Amino acid sequence: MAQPLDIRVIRAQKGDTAAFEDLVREHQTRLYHTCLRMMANPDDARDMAQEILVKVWRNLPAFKGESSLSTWLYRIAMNTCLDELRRRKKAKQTSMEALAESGWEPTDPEAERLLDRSLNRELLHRALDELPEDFRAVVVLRDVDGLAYEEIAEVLACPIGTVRSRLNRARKMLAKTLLEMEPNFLDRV
Amino acid sequence: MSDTIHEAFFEYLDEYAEGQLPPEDAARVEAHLADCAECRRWLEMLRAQKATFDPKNAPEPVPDLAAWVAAQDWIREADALPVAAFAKGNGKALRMNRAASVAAALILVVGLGAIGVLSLHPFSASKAAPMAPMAMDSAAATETTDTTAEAPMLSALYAEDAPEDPEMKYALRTLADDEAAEDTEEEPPAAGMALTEEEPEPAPQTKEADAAVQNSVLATDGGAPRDMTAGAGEDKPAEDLPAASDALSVETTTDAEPSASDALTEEAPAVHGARRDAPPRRSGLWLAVLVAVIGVAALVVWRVRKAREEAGQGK
Repeated sequence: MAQPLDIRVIRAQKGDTAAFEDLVREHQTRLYHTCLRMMANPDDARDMAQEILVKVWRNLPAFKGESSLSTWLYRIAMNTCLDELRRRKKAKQTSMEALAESGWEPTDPEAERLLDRSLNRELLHRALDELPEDFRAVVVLRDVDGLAYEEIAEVLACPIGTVRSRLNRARKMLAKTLLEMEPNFLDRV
Repeated sequence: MSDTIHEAFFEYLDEYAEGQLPPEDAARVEAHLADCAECRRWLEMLRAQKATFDPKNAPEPVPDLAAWVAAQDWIREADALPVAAFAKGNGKALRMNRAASVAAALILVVGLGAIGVLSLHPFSASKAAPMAPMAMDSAAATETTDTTAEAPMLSALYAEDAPEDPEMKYALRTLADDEAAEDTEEEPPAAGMALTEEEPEPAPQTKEADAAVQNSVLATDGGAPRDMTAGAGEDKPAEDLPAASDALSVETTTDAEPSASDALTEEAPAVHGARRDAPPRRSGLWLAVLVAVIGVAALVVWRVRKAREEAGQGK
């Protein structure tokens, strides 16, 4: 069912560039982090986000409000990122390895906690990066973009049951990868 | 750990962590969590994942994508266009629509031109056939239905050098009368050139007879034949040919006709029919218009479907 369009969307569809920039400003944080979690690389994430915005501008006149603007935007973002991931292999280097190579060591409890948090974050990012792109997509849409199962189903154009099962399997694969990398991960959570 | 995760509740932990479960389901999960340490630890991991991936907690700086958009050429170009230009979309879509319109116009022009040429082609080909054996009738090839071409034929009856032979005079009169009758019945051509070039088409049968007439006339008068041939080349229905040849009492062209028609190929009857029916070029033009309209419609449909697919797939 079509939803009433945001006035900024209507104006942007008519060529109001200021309205379009306003929409970009509203969605850029989540858009960038979606790309970052999918691409696992800030430069790639920025390039993807820019490519996505070009597509959004080009296709905005065809947006009829049958889904929310966010859902429509994430659909473009996911398709663009998934296409790119399927097209090329990525070189991965973990921050943990970089930290170990740099010889940095914590000197106080607070730093240790920060390191743990940082390591946890890195562990999770690495584990996420290890996921196949289709499973990574559901985790990103769920945890980065905060979409409901119905919205994820709409973005990925698949049934809700598929979203549930795919998210289930993704969580298990994440847990398995995390524990393989750090057996005491749960103790640090 | 996967061995200890309770599958029955695992699927709901994600929604429970987000507070999205209905109250009764949430109560069941909480009851289970109270008795299951493994699921509690798994729930903690879920919350850690969500907290880590939440953009609000991410330390990475977010680039200013809005400023990047404002600096792009395609945005500045769109900004320079009047708002009315975006009646159907943004600048990029407008340029695409313009490209599609130009392409549609080109298809229309090329389609009309090609079909127009093709509609003329059959007549030029069929015209060549009878002209080859009738080289002496080169003047006939340029005949028109205008009265100046008729004049020599009619005047031949009254020319001082008109043949004295009554049968010959009768033949001349017959041919002239037929000419005059057909001219009054015939519709004016919609496009002059096509018909004038069609004129010789039926002539092969007629022209053979005329050649026979000419030959016989040559025996009596060298001047008349050219007029006779010219006149006979005009508007002489093939059906009337036997009467003329009978009147002439010359070697009938029935034998010659097949060869003439062979030379002409089967286009002659079609030309006859075309001359009596609506001029072929009209149907050719209609066909051209139809093809062009279909081509334009197909292009428009293709563009619309492509735009919808791109919008739907977000590509």
